[in-house]
Amino acid sequence: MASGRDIDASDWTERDLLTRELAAERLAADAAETLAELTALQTAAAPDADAVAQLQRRLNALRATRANVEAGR
Amino acid sequence: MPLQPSMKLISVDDHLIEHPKVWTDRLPQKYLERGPRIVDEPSPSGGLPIQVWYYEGKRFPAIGLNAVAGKKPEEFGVEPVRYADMIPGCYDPKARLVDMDLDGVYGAANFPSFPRFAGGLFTKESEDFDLAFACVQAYNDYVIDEWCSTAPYRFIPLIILPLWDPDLCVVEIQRCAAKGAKGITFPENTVPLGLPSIYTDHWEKVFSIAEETDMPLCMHFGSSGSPPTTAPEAPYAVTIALYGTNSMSATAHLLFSPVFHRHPKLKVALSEGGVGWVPYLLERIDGTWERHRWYQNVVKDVRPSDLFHKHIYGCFIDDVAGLKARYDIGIGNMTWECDYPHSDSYWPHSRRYAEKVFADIPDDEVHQIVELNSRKLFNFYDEPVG
Repeated sequence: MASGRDIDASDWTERDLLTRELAAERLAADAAETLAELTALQTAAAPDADAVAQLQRRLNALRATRANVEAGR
Repeated sequence: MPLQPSMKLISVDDHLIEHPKVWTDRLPQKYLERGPRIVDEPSPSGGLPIQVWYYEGKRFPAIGLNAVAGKKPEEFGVEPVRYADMIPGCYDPKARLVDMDLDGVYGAANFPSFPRFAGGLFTKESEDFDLAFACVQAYNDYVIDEWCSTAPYRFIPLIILPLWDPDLCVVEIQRCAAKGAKGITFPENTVPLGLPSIYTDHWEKVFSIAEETDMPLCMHFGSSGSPPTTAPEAPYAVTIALYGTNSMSATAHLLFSPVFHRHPKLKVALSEGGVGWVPYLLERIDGTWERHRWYQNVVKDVRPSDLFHKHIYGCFIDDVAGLKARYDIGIGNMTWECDYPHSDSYWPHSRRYAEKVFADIPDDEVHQIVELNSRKLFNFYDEPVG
């Protein structure tokens, strides 16, 4: 049995945008995931230097983008 | 890892949000008051002013919406979003490139927002069609000269048409082709917009010039202005679940029409409709053609599924059924989409997500789907070396 009503603008999926707030949340989550991967790689017996460098670069980019997104609020 | 680093992800279905000066910067002085412009209005909730578009004295609320983040699903709600609330990649092409880099996406075709996905607003909502045509041209100049010129080998210019006048459409396609346009947005069905159907001769010149300029007609879900609904009381969830049926309707509509018989080089891209439904529908269409073509106004000697494989492209973000059925769909008919900046995109990890989606697909097939088919569809290639 359905309960309640649709919210106004229930077609939001066609118009819902990435806001600064949502983007910052996603960037933080991605950075945490990337940091965990990076830590695991760095503590491996024989770390893959290229893979470490690539992940570090991505982590830096995620953090920089998050800072920019939050600074614009 | 089937999605190799050398493969460039090209999204055939992203969106841009027009900044407030797209039309005020370009329209003649006499049209500035009636042309599209952003107006700040007091917020009903007492917060910051809301920003709305006005066109020809009509108010068009919400330049976008914000599904309020961080809330529990049962507290879910939406509110109008201001430009300052959006990430700049929504409306700033330089910021968009940064976001694409972070997302692992190389190229993108962007559909309009305020004019609607195929520019239908200027057909449906205009009283002064001289103004409307100026608005269409202003949008196309913005897309080609301002947005895509920021990175011509990464942004695929999609134009809108003055749909109310086929002769003007031809003029505008020719004008934009000369400026570097690569695709034409077009309604998935023209009839709900109050326009003649593709079974009439009305669109002949338009389809001919699209062929001649080698630009596909890009038919986004919802561009007909008639989303699938079942009952006034039904939740919008029904419509969301049925999005792909608009692309199914467009496919049947096209394949039984004279369009591809008269225009053997015309290409059509169906956007946001997924592809998993294709094998079933082609089987059904071919079966109908086999049994019923003799007494109907249907071309008798060309199997509809052959037309599909020659002319139509579908796209998807994640479509497990579609990938399983890829040989029945046709690897050459599948393209990839991202849907940035809508919140149902996977940004900023679209590439990582795509790696999972394509994990079990052979490299050469992945390459076709994520890059090569889109390049062929839009005649869109990298800058020549040297």
